Amino acid sequence: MTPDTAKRIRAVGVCIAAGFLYGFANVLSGRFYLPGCDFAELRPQVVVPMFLGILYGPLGGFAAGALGDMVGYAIGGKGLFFAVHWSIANGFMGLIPGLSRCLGARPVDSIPSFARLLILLVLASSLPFAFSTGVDVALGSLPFHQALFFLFLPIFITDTLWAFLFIPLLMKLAGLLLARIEMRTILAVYYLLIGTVMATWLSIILITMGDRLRVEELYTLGSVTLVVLAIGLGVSAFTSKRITAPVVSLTRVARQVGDGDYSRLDALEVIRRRSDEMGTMAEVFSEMVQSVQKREQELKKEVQTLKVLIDRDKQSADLEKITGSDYFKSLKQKAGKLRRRTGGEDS
Amino acid sequence: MGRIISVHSFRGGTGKSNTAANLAALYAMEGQRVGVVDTDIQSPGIHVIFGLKEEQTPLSLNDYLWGRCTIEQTAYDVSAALDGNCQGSIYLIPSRVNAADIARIIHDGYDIDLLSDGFRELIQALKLDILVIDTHPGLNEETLLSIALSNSLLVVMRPDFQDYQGTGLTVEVARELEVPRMVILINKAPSSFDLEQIRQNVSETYNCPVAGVIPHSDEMMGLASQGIFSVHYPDHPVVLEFKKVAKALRD
Ligand SMILES: Nc1ncnc2c1ncn2[C@@H]1O[C@H](COP(=O)(O)OP(=O)(O)OP(=O)(O)O)[C@@H](O)[C@H]1O
Ligand SMILES: [Mg+2]
Repeated sequence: MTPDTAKRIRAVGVCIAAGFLYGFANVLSGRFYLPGCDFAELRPQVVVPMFLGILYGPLGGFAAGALGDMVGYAIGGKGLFFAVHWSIANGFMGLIPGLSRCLGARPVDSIPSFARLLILLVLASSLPFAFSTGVDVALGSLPFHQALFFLFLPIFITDTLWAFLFIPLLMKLAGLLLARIEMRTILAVYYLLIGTVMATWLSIILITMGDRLRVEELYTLGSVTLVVLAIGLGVSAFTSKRITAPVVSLTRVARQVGDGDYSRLDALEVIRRRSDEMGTMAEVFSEMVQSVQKREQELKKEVQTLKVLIDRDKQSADLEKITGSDYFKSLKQKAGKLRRRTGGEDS
Repeated sequence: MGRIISVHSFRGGTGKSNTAANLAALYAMEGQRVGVVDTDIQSPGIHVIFGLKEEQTPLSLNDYLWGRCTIEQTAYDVSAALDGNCQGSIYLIPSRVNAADIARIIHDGYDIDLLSDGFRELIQALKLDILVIDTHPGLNEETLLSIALSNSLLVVMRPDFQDYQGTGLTVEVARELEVPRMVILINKAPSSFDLEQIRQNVSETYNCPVAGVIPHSDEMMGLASQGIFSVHYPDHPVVLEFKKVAKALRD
């Protein structure tokens, strides 16, 4: 068995196990609603198929989601194929985050890739269930109004929040979220926002507990909260980017200079115009690089001009002066003999 | 029997003494018995590199040249300067540093032939494999003698216009004296230079092999002749060049 096949077999095993885990969790959470509030089923386990998708790709995510849903029905005594369209929807919930690899959201190392990941998570929490709820409506088993406020919106809003809360954490643990400076800045704001939104949301649920009349307002409010969250994230992404972009491009230019490429200095021009410390730093850095470059060029010039020049006429005149002396003549006569006497004469 | 290797440069300060000391050290590390003679009577210095103080050397080459003692009496075992790396032994024959003595020998002169007899006696008495001679810059009589006696001559030069003409003259003089082997060492090359280009240029100009090119080294500068570079920095690229030179002079 090649290591590759072994790896694949292990991945399939993990996905099946995760599917079962998801299934059991579904049975449990199906029993424990918030007290007196049968529409607010809290299902943090949705992050299992999503994360499996991220780890093992779309197929792994689909297997974990679909299998888990079917196992849940089976344990509940309804049979594996109790609601095939819901099983398919759950499969897609795991499949969509699995696209992160192809869409450049894995590993997450910048704000754009983080944004792509979040969009996938929103899509994974909405599209599949729009489909399955839609099928229910089309089959006539639920009126539209009921389907929207008692099924789709609760699923969409809570799944999104769970995914937002746990997926970045899990990816960090799996080493798929890199601690670049812009990630560090955005993550702090990100969790602050999610924490606030979730706390508010849960308090509203607890306050309106069991009051079926308020459900529409509750989920309308929930949708609005999600929109506010999205705007908040957008704004903080923008500011984080603004704060950290100079550091990122300075680092990139510094690396290029280290590799001997001086041509990208003009990339610092924008940063230099800033009036803050970053601007000063870019200014100092480009001046430093320019003087290094100048010195290097001067040294290179010297290499080219180094040429040993000797005045041959003067040399032979000097040579004659030395070799013409009596001392030299006798030395020359004795030289060979002297060398042989010390014994090291080359043969 | 012993082989005489002279280290010479037309101008001063090229690094002769440091080179001579390192060559001697490298030979001794290989297990050879090595003698080092400081014939730079007017500006002696190599004893400093071997860590020998003046008061430790009651007798010097000067005393021998004045007939006050035999040459073996002026030889000091400096193997300890190799910090336990000495497989053979090194003897140093220092020159007198005292200003009055230096003035006297310059004024009175000495019998040049004594020097060649001295080298021979030294090799026999100490059973030397190699005798390294550190010379005075220029081409005065004792330097010409050292060159004439040498089995191998190392001409040290810097890539500096002040050195070019004199180096050419030295090489031609050594040719006249039919020194069996002669190589050039280029020292203190600015490290930004293309060392290979310098090597080719020099060997073509003087029609003489270049055995090593040593860049200017801050470590060497920092050692400030207070020790033997090859002992302090055995893995430094400069030592690799010293080894090439040592091989070219002996094999
Ligand atoms: N490659 C080198 N890089 C840096 N410094 C060097 C190098 N070679 C020699 N030196 C330094 O140059 C100085 C002169 O060296 P040294 O005394 O060996 O030269 P010399 O030719 O014997 O001088 P003199 O002609 O005065 O006897 C010393 O301070 C030494 O440390
Ligand atoms: Mg010297």
